[in-house]
Amino acid sequence: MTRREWIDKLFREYSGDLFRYLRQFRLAEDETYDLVQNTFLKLLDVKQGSLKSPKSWLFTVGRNMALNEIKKNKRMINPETMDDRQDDSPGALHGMISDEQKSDLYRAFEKLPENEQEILRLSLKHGLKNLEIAKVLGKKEGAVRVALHRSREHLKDLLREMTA
Amino acid sequence: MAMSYNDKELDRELKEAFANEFADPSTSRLDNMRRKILADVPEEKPGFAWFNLKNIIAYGAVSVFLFMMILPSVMDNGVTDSTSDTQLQFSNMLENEEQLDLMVAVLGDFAEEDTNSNLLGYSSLTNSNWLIFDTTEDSSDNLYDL
Repeated sequence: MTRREWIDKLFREYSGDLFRYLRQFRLAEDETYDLVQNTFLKLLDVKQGSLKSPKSWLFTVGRNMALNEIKKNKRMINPETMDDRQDDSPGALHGMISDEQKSDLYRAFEKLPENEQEILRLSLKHGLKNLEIAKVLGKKEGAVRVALHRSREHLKDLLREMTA
Repeated sequence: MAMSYNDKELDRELKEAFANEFADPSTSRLDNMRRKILADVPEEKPGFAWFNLKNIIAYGAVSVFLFMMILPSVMDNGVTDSTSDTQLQFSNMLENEEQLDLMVAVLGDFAEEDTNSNLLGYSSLTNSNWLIFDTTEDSSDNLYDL
């Protein structure tokens, strides 16, 4: 497999999932596309075959870029004005689910802290293993296991409170 | 009534909720991006691939061939030359019968004494050649390398 074929394969396999993952950072849609592109451009510097888990590598790089972008936006934008660089439109910020369509479970999920939401998404939505999640978040595998358990329990508690 | 889930049910329900959480990216936009990125991939120059199996076999065969060509000359010259000092020391030691017996004892299984001809032979661990010491007093050249 040539280098071009390798990058092509990774792009076809993971670009969509990377885009959906980066959407959770609530940046504007165009910015999210840029992040996906810049993440794959970084891949050009990586030695072919050196990545054990290309998906977790792409998610890690994309996540770091997204967090940098958010920091940059906070510095650039006056807090008194509207943050027009963020995509707050319905169906974009929270995806395609309208308020009416949201299940009780999803409503409870939205009340979780962002770090708990992220870890559940990485595990259940993107199918990453605990070790891969640990790499993306810069944590230890054991800490991820504990955090996943706590997030589930927290979600169950919230759901019980909401439906009691 | 309060809703309760076990972990498996919770995971299954969440996966379903996540499926429609964010809109999918535009296929055409991702396709354009892919082309742009691939255009930035530098052309691969044909280089030497060390881990190519064919190369390993080919260069391995050449190396073995060269080694086999060089080995006989090393065995004939290099090894014998390098042990000449040791051989000389041995030959000077063998002045009488007692020393001869001592040498046989020290060399053990690697040495054999021919009592009839006063020759002592031993094989070096590093050299399969037999070195023959002539222990007669009048022998001027008391070393033979077979």
